[in-house]
Amino acid sequence: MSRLSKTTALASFGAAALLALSANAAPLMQKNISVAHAWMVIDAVNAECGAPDRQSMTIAVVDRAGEPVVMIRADTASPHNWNQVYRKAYTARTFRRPSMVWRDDSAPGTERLGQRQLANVLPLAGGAPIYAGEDVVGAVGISGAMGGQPADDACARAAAASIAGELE
Amino acid sequence: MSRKFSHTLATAILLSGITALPAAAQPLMQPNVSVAMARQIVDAAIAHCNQPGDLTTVTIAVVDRAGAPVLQIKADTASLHNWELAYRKAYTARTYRRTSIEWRDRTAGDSDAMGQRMLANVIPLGGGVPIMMGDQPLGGIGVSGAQGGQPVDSACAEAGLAAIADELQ
Repeated sequence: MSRLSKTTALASFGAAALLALSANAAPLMQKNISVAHAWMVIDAVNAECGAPDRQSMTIAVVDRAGEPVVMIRADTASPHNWNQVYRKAYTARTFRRPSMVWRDDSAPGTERLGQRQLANVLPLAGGAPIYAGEDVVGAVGISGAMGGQPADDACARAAAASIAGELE
Repeated sequence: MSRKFSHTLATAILLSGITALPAAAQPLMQPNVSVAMARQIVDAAIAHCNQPGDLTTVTIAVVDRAGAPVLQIKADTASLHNWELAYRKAYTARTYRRTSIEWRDRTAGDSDAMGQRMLANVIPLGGGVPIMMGDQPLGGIGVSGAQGGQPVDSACAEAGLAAIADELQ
């Protein structure tokens, strides 16, 4: 190929790439959860595993970005609970699985133990991702269910699943 | 004073101190913010200053007596800083027992209290209101993101407080 034809080929390839890029440069439209969704999840947690007469659960709902949307503390909470539920939710969001599953996936003896060194993650049960179809659009983290980590895990998963219909 | 006598005296003082202690060692009974109270505050603040429509447009924090958050809610329309701002406004109002707009002005540029602004978690911006029962601080309310800036954030927090005024008599 002559130098000219090379140049022409490169130029036309470049132009085509630019054209293709601009055709693909529409904004991403990503589902996310609203405050209304967060309250639905919190109500579901309270109904599923909270005391009937008072706020016994500490709960965080985080959005697609892992940022908190609504957080609420139990009247009986210990000082660590607030940060703990946020980290459970963040863990479930970022690893797209219940925090109990990630706890086991990253357990000592596994090659993934290093993941525990990230900021804001927590290898404890009670965080569950919130799905819009296959897409993780947030997560819930809870603390305070009677029965420890397995109870927190089951309650968080049930509450997260309860709004699946809202996010179709 | 002989050595023996002074020893006895010291023991007597010590003993009287011990017997006085139980009378003075009742638990402190301190009023605090409940979750139910925090929910009423948030509902009232949203009713007062949320923009019309389905979205939540204000970010709100309610902190307790210890300055720890009880309930926080982020606007659907929030910027990245709003969550922190609402919390810091509430914390400022709680710890200084006055509105954050008042504290902002007290600690302004030429004030000899400006150093207070160097503490962690405080913020010299309007939108924070203390929750008081007489002279007892229970907590604070912080609002960020209301349309109209600091005076509106402040009025919105006041509206939240007004909803529980009867509980604080």
